[in-house]
Amino acid sequence: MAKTVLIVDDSASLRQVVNIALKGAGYNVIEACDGKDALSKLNGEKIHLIISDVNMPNMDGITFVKEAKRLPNYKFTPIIMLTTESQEEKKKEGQAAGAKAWVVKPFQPAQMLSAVSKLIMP
Amino acid sequence: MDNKKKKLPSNTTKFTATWSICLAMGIVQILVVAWLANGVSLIRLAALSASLLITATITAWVLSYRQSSQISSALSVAQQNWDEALRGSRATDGICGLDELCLSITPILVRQIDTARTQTQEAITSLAQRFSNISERLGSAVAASQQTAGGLTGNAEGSAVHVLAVSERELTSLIGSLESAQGARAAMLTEIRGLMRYTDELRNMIDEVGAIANQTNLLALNASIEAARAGETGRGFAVVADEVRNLSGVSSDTAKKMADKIGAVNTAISNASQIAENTSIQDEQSIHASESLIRNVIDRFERVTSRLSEASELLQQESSGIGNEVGEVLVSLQFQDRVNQILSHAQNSMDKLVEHIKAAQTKQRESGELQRIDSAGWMKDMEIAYATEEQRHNHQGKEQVKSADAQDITFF
Repeated sequence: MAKTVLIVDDSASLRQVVNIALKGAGYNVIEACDGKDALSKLNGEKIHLIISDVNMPNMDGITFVKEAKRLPNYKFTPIIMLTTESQEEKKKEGQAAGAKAWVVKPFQPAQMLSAVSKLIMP
Repeated sequence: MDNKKKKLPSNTTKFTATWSICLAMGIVQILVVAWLANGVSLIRLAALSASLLITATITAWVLSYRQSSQISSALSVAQQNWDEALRGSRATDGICGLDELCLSITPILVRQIDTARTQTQEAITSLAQRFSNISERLGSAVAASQQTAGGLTGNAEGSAVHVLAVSERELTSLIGSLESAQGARAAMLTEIRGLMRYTDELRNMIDEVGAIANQTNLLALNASIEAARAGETGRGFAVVADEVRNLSGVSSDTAKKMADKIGAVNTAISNASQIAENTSIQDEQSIHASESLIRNVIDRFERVTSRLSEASELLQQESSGIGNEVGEVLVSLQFQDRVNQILSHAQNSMDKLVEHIKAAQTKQRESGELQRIDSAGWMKDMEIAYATEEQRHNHQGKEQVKSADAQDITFF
């Protein structure tokens, strides 16, 4: 049974890139274009991992992580932040919100896969 | 203008100086007239004339000075009025129309950036989609190639190597069967040759039977002679002797027949032996031919599978290389997201600028006061909203750096 990963990013091309990288390794990928859209996808369906951007319209990544951590079904779902931001203060914000890892764009697909498999068994 | 103003004396100072000079000149005139009252002389008249001339000159100078002061004051007032008028014009129409220019140009620039952003995004998304398809198809090709390669080179049941080994074993066992059949035929030939030896023995035995029959015939003949000599008493014996002679004749005939049959059997055995011998030679040749044929087929099959295996290995290496290239392309495609962040930020800043100018214009019209933009605050707000190191770099006016490479992942 393939594990499901939710990718949240306002850039369609980046969602594609993550999709290619993860699908190639046998993961099932679902997409959301911002924090609000992502929350609507957290509807009880089993999601093993979330990869989220930080700067997004409607609802930013940090707020989304905080909201997701409040949902009983997704409280323990590991979250990776994937962003252009590399400032330490921002990383600390992500950590405080409950993210498990911080990946700066552009990322190497192999690197992302190793981070994903570190957080969930493939 | 300010410097010129400083050089001109103030109105009060100018007023005091003029009247002090006039007073001094009046006192001088009174003193001269008083001096003339003591007696008129040429010198005293000359002094009076000089005094009047000086007084007239000084009065003319004072008048001209006052006029110049008035002109200067008028100019100063005109300058002030001009300055005020200019200030008034700024308050209503903006800094030489710069704000109007900003309001016209900025939305156009925002739309241009938006078009560029949208087009880039659409193109990159389509490119990413195509890469996704290529990657999927490549994945299937690689999987198929690996399966084929595994089938060719592996030792699992159904693999080419396995099929080759089984075929070789089965074909070799076929040759074994042929060889054992040939061995059985050789044993049969030996047995047949053994039968020929028995027929020789039978022939000897038939000769012996023939000799016994001859001997018996001779004995019967002697018995008949002796029975005839015995006369009547020997008649019965003569009958027996005849019967014995007949029996010996029959034995002799049977022996002859047996000899004939043995000859026929011998010939048949000899023929069969010859045929078997010929067949055996043919079989041996067939087995050798089969062996060499099987060896050739197996060799050819081995060569083909080995070439297929090499091709498959090469395909695997190439697919792995292409896989790495696809990975690099995926890294490069992410530039669009960074570019998008930078352009969005520029767009938002321009939008904010337009809003700010509009608000300032309204405020200025209402209050009539010049509105000042807090540049430092603007710059700070801009910096806070940056999402990439490149933006901060550009903001600080540093030399442009190359786009960011993939960085290590931070785990919390």
